[in-house]
Amino acid sequence: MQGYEIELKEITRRFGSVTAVDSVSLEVRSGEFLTLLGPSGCGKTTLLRVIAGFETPDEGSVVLGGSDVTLVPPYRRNVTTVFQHYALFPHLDVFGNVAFGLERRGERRDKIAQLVNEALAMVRLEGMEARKPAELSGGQQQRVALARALVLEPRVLLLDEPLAALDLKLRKQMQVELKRLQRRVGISFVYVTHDQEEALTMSDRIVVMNLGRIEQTGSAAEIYERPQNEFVAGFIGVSNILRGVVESVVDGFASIRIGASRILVQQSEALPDRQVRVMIRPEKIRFGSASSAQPGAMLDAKIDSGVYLGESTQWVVELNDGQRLTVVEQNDVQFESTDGRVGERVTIHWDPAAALIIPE
Amino acid sequence: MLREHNNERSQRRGGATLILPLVACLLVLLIAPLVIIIVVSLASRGPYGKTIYEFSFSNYARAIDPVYLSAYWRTIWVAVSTTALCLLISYPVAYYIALRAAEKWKRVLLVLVVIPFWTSFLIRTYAWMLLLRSEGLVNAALMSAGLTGAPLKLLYNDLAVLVGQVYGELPFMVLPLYVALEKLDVRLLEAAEDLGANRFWTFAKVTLPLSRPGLIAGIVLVFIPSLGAFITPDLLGGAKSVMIGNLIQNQFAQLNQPFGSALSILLTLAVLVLLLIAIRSGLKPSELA
Repeated sequence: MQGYEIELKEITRRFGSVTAVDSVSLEVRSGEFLTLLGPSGCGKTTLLRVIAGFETPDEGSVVLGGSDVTLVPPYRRNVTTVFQHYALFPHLDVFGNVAFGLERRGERRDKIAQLVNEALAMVRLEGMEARKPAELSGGQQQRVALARALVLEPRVLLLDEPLAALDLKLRKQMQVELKRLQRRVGISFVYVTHDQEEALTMSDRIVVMNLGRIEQTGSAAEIYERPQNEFVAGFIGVSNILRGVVESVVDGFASIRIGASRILVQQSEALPDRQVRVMIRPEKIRFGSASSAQPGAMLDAKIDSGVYLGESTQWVVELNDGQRLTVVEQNDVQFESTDGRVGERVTIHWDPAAALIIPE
Repeated sequence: MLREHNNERSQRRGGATLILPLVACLLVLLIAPLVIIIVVSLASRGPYGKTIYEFSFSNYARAIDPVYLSAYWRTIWVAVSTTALCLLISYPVAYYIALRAAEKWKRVLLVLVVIPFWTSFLIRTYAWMLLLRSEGLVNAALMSAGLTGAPLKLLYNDLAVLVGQVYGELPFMVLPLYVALEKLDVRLLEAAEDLGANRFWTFAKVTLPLSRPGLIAGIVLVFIPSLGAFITPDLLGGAKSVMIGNLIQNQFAQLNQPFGSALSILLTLAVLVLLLIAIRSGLKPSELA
């Protein structure tokens, strides 16, 4: 065993002329929290349904715990799902919902009662056994769905945007709770979301998907700090993309001309194109004077507009060649007004490691 | 504020006026005949069928005469069998239309279920006579296939009554079941499968319990009219296939209105009791519409 719970091998799933999942290979490691992240229609839910068994791939195979389950129906796969709208059985009470799978397995009554009570305690729903789903709040229904899926001790728990229907505050709270729960039960979670913040908060690894393909796989920090392409850079967080021309690559740095200025960006190999795109995250850019900056990591700009956001202010600055950048400044001193600074000429600078060349 | 209040009041008064025609209809067409029948049921039959208004419960006493027991018994078993057979036939049909058929075919299939209503029930029952009689289509087919030498006696027995009843009541079972199954959230079926339930278990634990409103409505809509059936036993049944409906009809034909009225009242009471049981077990009156 390689320590993989799930191996997806070149999965392709088409619906008519649309290819929802396009030759995707992916491994889910034991005990990891893996997130499939992407915009709606990127194929993440289809991929999850392929793992659960609700979709049969047109090509490729699904290996679960070392055995090929590509053609095995969902009820014989040792994975369970928390559905987007929970799909709780309305005619059963909380106990009946959580006991559903255990009864199917033919467990003894007292064992079922014990396991159900443990599962309900785990999601902090003790005393709710006799309630019907309709009598529960959204957050409570969510927990019942979790308990119902976890009580079967699946090899992998699949979660399809389980927090999408909750309000913001509850969602944040559930993110923390889900992560804690996953650490406690120690099984692999495969979590589908379109919410990048959710993905960054909870995941051990994030798989960014677009148009049925995987764009990048990595930890939250890797995805955020080192996006491999413009899609990932743009989808995760706010990003500034500058267009420039490479003049040389020497000593691990590329010298790039932007307008009349030059900046240095870490780059060890030669670049195929002279035209490149450079990404710098808005929060990594600071205002300052030429003296406080490192050489090759600064540009002259003019403040175009600003939006006060409470803890921070989001500025848009315009470079001499007309390109625009977003700069996020922490409001660590008493803030007065954005209007007073519009039109001001500034020098922006950053840590040289914060700039990144994005390949085409 | 005050004006708003008045407005609401006058609107409420307007609402009362709106249901007046209905109230009038109910009074004239339902309550009044019922009262008349109750009164007549307490009267007695004079010579030449004249109704004599000397009040007694003798008609009700006569209703429990063992002579009529076989008709009661037949009524119950025909109604029960009709309901059971309709259920067995309708559930797969309703399930298919609601959950399996392609969206564009659903409407066509539903129209096909309802199409028999375009012809009067009496005429459709005559059609069954043509099919089932000795020289009828069914016997002709059986004989030409060599399955039987002489024509089978398919008509004028209890089985023919049952066939006619099931045929006539079938749509009343299919439609409420369809409505219930159509509302079924298919994601629940996926959830059941996800939790380890195969198709059979999913059906028994999810689909069937969630279609309960349709089941109860269908049972009520088939069982209760079956109790009062008289066309089918009259035309398709033999001399012995008498049901309560025929008994009542005969009393009115034989100018024994008081006894016929008493039987009608007893049947109505039985139906009311059954409806109360159905409502107790979860039937919502709106589901019968």
